[in-house]
Amino acid sequence: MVLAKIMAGPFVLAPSLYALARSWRAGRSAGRLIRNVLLATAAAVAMASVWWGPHLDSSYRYLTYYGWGEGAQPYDLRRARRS
Amino acid sequence: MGRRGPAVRPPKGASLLSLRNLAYYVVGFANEGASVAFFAIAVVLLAGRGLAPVAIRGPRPLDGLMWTWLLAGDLLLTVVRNKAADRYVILVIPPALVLMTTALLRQPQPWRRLAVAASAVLAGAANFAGHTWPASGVRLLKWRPPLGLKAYTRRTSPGCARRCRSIPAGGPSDRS
Repeated sequence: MVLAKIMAGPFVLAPSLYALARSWRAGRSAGRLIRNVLLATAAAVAMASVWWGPHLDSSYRYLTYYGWGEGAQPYDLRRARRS
Repeated sequence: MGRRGPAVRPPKGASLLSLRNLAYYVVGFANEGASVAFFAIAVVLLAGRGLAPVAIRGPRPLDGLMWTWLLAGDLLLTVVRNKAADRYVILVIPPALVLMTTALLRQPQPWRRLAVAASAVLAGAANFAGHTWPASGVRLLKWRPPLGLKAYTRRTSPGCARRCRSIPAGGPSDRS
C-alpha cells in the first residue's frame, strides 16, 4: 500500500497500532509480540525502501509542502474565497 | 474516482472543526469515491450492528481493524489543510467495502442479502454505464447536502485557475 500512493503511509499507522493492541490484549507473550512486530516492520521496510529510500527526502518535502504548507493554501477551506 | 482539478471552496472560510471541513470527505466519499447509491447502501448496512465503537472493542478483530482504518483515515484527510481533490477518499474505500461485505454476509434473512446484493450490483452497473458511456443517458447521482455543504460542487472557477497556475509543476493533481 505504501508503494501504491505517496500519501498512503500514514493510513497504515492506525490499523497497525490497532492490530498491535488487539494482540497485546489477547495475551500474547511480549517477547513473541516484539519479535513479530520487528519481523513485519523489517519486511515492510525492506520492500518499501526500494522506492522510498531514494525518494524519502523529496517525498517528505512534497507531502508537508502540499499537505500543510504554502502549497496547500490554494486548496484550504479555511481561506476565504477571493473570486 | 474524481476528476482532476481543484475543488471550489465555499464562500466563507471554514475552520478545522467546522461542519464543512469535517464533512468534506464524507460528501466526497458519496459523490466521488463510491457513488451516492453505494453510500446509501453502506449507511443501511452499517447503521445497525456494525457501529464503530462496538466493533472496535468487539470480538471480531477484522471489523475493528477496518473501522480503525476508515475512521483514522477520514480523520487524517480532515486535518490535512489541502482539500485539493475528493479522490483522496480512495484510501478509505477498501475498509468501507470490507465492512459492507461482512455486514451483507451477516444479514439474517436470505431475501435481505439478495436484495442488498442486487441493489449493489445495480448501483455498480449504473456507475459503470454513467462513467463509461455518458451518452447512454444514465445520470450519476450527486449528493447535495443541506447546511451549506453543497458548495463542494466540483468545477474550476476563474479564481482557482489563476491560483493553480502559480503552483509548481508536480502539484497534488499530478503526483499524490
